[in-house]
Amino acid sequence: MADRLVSNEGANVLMGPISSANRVAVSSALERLQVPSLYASQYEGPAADDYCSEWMFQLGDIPSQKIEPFVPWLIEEHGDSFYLLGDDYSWPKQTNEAVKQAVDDGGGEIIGEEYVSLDTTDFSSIIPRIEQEDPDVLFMTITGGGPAAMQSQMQEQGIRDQFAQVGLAHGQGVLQGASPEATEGVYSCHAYLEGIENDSNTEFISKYRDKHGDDALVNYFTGPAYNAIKLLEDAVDRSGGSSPEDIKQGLQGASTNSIMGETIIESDNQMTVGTFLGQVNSDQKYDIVKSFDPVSPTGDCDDI
Amino acid sequence: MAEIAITLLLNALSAALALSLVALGLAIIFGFMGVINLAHGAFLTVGAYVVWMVPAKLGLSFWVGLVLAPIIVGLIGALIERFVIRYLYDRLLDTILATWGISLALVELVKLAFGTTSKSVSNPLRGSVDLGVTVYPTYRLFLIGFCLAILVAVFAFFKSTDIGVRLRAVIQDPDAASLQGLNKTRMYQYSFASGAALAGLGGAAIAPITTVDPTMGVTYLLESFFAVILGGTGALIAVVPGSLIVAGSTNVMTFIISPVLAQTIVFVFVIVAMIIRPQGIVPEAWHE
Repeated sequence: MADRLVSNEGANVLMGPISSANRVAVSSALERLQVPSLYASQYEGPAADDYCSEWMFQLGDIPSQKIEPFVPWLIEEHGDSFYLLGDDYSWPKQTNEAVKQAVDDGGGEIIGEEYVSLDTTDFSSIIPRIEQEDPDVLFMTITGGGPAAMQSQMQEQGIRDQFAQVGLAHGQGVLQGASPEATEGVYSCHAYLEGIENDSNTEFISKYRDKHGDDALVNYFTGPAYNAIKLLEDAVDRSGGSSPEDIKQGLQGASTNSIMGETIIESDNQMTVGTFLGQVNSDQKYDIVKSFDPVSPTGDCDDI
Repeated sequence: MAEIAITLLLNALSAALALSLVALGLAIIFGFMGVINLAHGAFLTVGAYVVWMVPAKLGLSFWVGLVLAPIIVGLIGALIERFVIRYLYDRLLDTILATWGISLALVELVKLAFGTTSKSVSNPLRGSVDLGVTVYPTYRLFLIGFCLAILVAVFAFFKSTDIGVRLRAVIQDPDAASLQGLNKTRMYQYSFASGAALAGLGGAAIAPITTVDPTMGVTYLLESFFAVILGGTGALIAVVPGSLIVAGSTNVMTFIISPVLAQTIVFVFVIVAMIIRPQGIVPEAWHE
């Protein structure tokens, strides 16, 4: 796919992909093609095999920006026993490694860790198991149709008030698969949420809705994707050219103050960005509860 | 402990019976027509969207949707049989490709019409029933009874009604049945439509307890195939034990071991069972 876009269509820069599994594959193609790509999705950060890719610019939030501030807050507010439930692939597993580290550092305890195959929508037998372990926080990295099904089934079994629920892939758009009562109160933490209050975001949301209709979906993918274009704009301005090499040079150090607040690509080809803790309200949208300051990437990647 | 055991058994039973309904549709289409219907998952999806649309867009009750879903999906099935499948009888590989194509088209149509976001079908029977040993969600109890009733009705239809007997005659020997004056083409159309209707009904019935989205059919398509293959295609009723093993045991084992391991064990079991008993796990005495 990347080959076709670059070789046949003549692309100088790519946007995407979304899943970590796809990103690893695209990264290796980029090295060969010598073309940059903007990856604007939350992901596992330095734990990823392609973290130090020279051409893959990672413009989504990583565990040190999100998990590390978020977990201590959960321990403080809701208690120290965590149950982890995720889909059985790289992003949930590597994110959970970061969660485990953060829980451990915060003096908490992991009392359960469970993975289901992708596309699982029947959680009816996992729920009693979680209930039996009685965690303070259920930390979910299930994706696709999973979040809505899980929330509905917890609601149905009447156990939603027994522990706090966190869903990193419980985005607006998938929550609508469950009733509002089944999703209210769920926490998530992202570099972008629709409810962020700054002038650029208010303007962006209103223009976006004007163009695409009032029920156009805005979720945690929307912000990073828009922000990535802003960074690309800055990169082209800075380097004064739009060849793949110019874009790559320009992106290193590119910054923008846009709908997600200040973002900059300082090191590791990874964006420095702050994150927002949100809680689902009765309209199935996230209200901002708290914001966490931007965290710089580790700078572990030499020579890029 | 007894409480959890009963809850798990009821979970397993509701999942298995819902799967039986869907798998029965697949078995009817394969058993009667020799068509391997890869559009079965898409039929289920359309059924679920009907039951979402009726309250959300038309303001009518869930129950109206539950009645309309099999009718609408059955009609879609009849049309697909008339304009596609009819030209492909006795061409097994081509029906696989054609139904797969139909499946992709139906799913894309659903996306075009309603978008890719998940839809919520609100539970028409909220709350739980106190069964003494455990408290269990009302809708799931209804689902168990409803699926059982439909299964009994379908089997009674094939055993006792005139049209059921004709359908069975067509399966046993299509040419002889034709010579006796039975309209083979008509019977095939009924079979495909009723198989599709069962998938639509299954999709509608499970909609309140799962996520309604364009790709929801995939898992059920896979599980239905496992249930049919495991039970064997010799007798329609074989889908019930097939489904009990595929959905029921996955459900129970998920509580005991990890979910992924539970699913893997069931898949391995199905493969081993296929090698040892290619005719299916039910005794030959059950076959027609």
